[in-house]
Order: sequence, then structure tokens, then C-alpha cells
Amino acid sequence: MRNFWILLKRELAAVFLTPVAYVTMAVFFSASAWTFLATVKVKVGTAEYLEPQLFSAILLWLPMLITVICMRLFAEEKRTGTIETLMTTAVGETSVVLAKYAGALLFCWICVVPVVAVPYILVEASPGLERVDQYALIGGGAMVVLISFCCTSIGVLTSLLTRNQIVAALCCFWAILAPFMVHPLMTVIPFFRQATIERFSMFQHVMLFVSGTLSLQPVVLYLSVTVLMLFSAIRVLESRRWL
Amino acid sequence: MDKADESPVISVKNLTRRFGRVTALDGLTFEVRRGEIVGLLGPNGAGKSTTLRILSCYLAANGGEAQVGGADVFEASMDVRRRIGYLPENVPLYTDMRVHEYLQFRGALKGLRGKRLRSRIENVLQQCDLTAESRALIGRLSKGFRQRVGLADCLLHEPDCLILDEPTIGLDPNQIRHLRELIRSLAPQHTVLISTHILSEVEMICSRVLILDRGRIIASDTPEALLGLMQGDERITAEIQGPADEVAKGVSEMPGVRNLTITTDGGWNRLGFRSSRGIGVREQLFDLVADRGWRLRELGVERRHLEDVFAALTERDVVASGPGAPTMEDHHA
Repeated sequence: MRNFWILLKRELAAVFLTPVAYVTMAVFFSASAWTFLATVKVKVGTAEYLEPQLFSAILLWLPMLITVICMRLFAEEKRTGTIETLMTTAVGETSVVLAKYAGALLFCWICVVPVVAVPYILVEASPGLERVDQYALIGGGAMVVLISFCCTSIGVLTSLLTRNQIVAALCCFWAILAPFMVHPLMTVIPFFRQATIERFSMFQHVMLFVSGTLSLQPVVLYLSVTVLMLFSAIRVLESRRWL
Repeated sequence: MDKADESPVISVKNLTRRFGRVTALDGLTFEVRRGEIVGLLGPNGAGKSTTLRILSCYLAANGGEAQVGGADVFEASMDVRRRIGYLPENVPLYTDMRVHEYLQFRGALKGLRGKRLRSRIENVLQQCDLTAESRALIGRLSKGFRQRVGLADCLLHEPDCLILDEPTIGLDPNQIRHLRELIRSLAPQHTVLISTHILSEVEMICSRVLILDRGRIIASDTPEALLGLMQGDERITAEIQGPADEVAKGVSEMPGVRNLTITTDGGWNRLGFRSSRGIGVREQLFDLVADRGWRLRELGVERRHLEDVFAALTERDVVASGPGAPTMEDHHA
């Protein structure tokens, strides 16, 4: 466990000591805030609440954010060869994978949290708007946290499979885009309106939680995928010592 | 010497590793004893780096056994990793970190903390002559300094055994000399297994040499003993002024002269030939020149280097190992 904290500290330092982290944060904030404000502007005067628009905006940009964060995790270490130095020290594969995962997750949340302030600023600036429903915000936020657990674990695994960051990014992006795409596809193609497919729609899950309906099914789904992906990542890292 | 000192620090038996259809290691067997500096030599693709990667627990093997400090590299990999300091080829480092910060990070991972960590960092910085660079960004350091940072990292936790993969690659002659002295100074406390292409270096610092070819040990002995393999044969050069055809005829008729080459430049004939040691070819050549009234301005024997042994062993399909291994004459035969 001690090694986990050492590696996590190193991971966060590696992220926040470079300008790339701040550029990523700024781009994600601008894109999400702009999408949110644009949607709210279109829906002014309708009965639509602010919270669903906020989480729609976050969900739209989240796959890209997670892809950017995760693409370098292991691919970069493999490319530079530092993985060899790291894995020939008395450090377990589990500590390495979990530290990288936790570092990526924390960075992801640090990027997302400021976006949540946008509706508050908007309400303060526009007295005509309804107040922000904090319970809806907590419900939606909890689901975004669960989704980030799941997608980041997919990103960790894809980054482990290659030494090329572009390949890692493409694999990660397409793997996590599928459940994000279920909702938009449902609205266009009737085939996707089946109950089985609907169960995998991340958008539906978030909206369910925003509306105050708590369901165990998406929680179990995201946690199971997270555990499966992290377990696979640990096994992949160990596999260099298999035959 | 007690029994613990006699037991090998590194023990490898019948180690085999295949990458698809390519056999990188083919039943490799060797031992390294405490305090030895052993050089691993071999042409590209001989299996040097694979051997070191298996010993440092980075790779698995298809078969065989490997132990470091009595711990099995496959069964007790964590124990082995605690006992070794491994410097991979090309010295991969985190270039965004400062030297001191990097050593602090690596020391913490190796279980050092508090005062001990601080004192070890101070020690290795001094030992590797890095004190002045301790606040420098690794990314801005020269290749030589990066090499020293890698070595400082290896030494941090005072491991029993150092495994260094091509530590002098890309260094300038001064840096090589410095690193050589540093490695030599480590010998009493540490056992060192070093892979390198620079044969003169092996001659200077290694107490024993293992020559690998196609995943097998083809020779294992001290540099002196390996040079002894070549002692039956020597290369003689001479410059003689006289009629070229007569010089060539006279020298080639001398007993024991082989592979004679002759080039003429401005009346001087430059001769080169091989001869069996101990039959007095140089004396005969001197007498010949005196008898014929020619002039002699150079007569010498080329000194044998490990490079010759290496070339002779790896260019021919020779299988020889350990004390009592066949000599070069046996190979010629």
C-alpha cells in the first residue's frame, strides 16, 4: 500500500507539472460550459431543467477527456522504457495499475468539478431562472463518478496494450464511445430502442439519477466493468512474465 | 572464506527463452560468485539483454532455473528485485524529474525512508559524481550524466548484485573511464554482471568473461585465460627493403610461416604473417635479412586482444566452455 501512495504522488506530479494538464482542464471546461450554455439558451422558456442540460454537456465531452488522460498512462512508460525500471523494483503490479488508475481518476474529477459551478453562476447572473436542484446535482454527479470509474479503467487497460499513445487513444475512445452513443442512436435508429440495449445507455443512467430515481442496476454494471477492466490490466502487466 | 561467500550470487541452469520461432537462450548455464565482476560478451542477438532481463525478473523463461542471492527469479521475484540493482540498456529515466527528486522517488519505492534515504542519496550522488547536478532536470542532462543517474539509482538500496546492460553505450572516452573506475570500485561489496560491446573495457575491469553466441555460452574464463587460448598463434609484421619477389620467397619458405601478405611501397616491403609461437620465426627472419644484405626497419608482434578471441569464437561455430576448454589450435584443427 505504501508503494501505491508513492506511485500516486509521482503520477499526479507527472500530470500537474506539465502545461498539458492545464490546457486539458481549460479545453474541457470551455467545451462543456459552452455546450451547456448553448443548450440552455435554446431551451429558454421551456419546462426543461438546468441539471439534465449540465450532465448532457459533461457526458458529451467526457469520452474525449478520459481518452486524453488515459492514453499516456502505460503507453508512454512502455515507449520510453521506464516500465522496465519500474517493474524490476520490488513493486507489485496491482500497486502500479491502481496508482495509475487513481491518478487518472483524480485528474478527471478535477477537470469535471469546475463545470458543476457553471449553472450556479448562470442562476446568479439570470434572476429569472429557477434555482439549481442540489439533489439532482448530487444524483447526476454520483452517476458521472461511476461512469468515470468505468471509463478510466477501460482507458488504463487500452493504454497497457500498446506502446503507441495514438493507438491507445483510438482504442480507448472507441471502447468508451459505444455506451455513450446508445442514446443518440436510439433517437435515430429504431433497432436501438430495445430494452436490452437501453440498459447500457450511459445517458439514460445519468438522467435516471438526476430525476431522483436510484437504481442498483447501473451501479452494479459500472462497478463490475471497473473491477473486470482493472483485473485484466493487472494480468496484462503480469503477462510479460508468463509464457 | 565461509560457505556463504562460496555460494554463487547468480546461478543459472539450462535457461531457455524463445520468442516465437527464435531461440534467444538455449540451455544457458553459468554462475557468478560474490565480489566478481563478470562481463557478458556476445554479438547482437546473442541473448545478453534477454539473460539480464530474466535475471532482473522482467521476463519469464521457457525453461531452466535462475537464482539471485539464493532466491528463485520466477518463484520469489520480489526477493530478487530487492537484492538487485538493474540498469537497463539506454537508461530509461523520468525526464521531467530532477535528479534528487528522482532518487528520492526511487529510494522510497525501494523501501528507504527518512534519514537513511537522505544519507543514501547523498552517498550515491557523491559516488557517481552527481552532487553538482542534483537539482538539474534529468531531461536536460547529457547522456553521460543520465548514465550516472541510472547507476546511482542502482546503488541506492545497496544491493548485493548489480546487473548492468551496456552501461557505457554512447559515452565519450572520459565518461567511459570514469564509469569503469566506478564499477571497479564497487567490486568488493557488490557482485556485478555487466553486458557490453566494448571488449577493451571487459579486459580492464572484469574478473571473468562469459562469451555468448546464439543463446549459449561458448567460452567462460578470466580475460587472461581467454587470451591464453590465442597464445599458440601470433601475428608478425615486418618492413624489409629488398627485391619484393625474393623477400616473399625467402619469408614464405621459413618454417612455421602462414598467411603471408606483402605490400610494396617506395622500395620497402611490408610483410604480415601468422606463425606458431615459440619456434623463433623473428630470429630466423632477422638472420635471413642479414644473410641477404637487405635492410630491416620494423619487426614486431601484434599484441592479442580479447577482441581477437571474441572474433575467433563467434565467427566460427565453436562450442567451448570453462577451464580446460579447447585452445585455438584445437579449433583450427
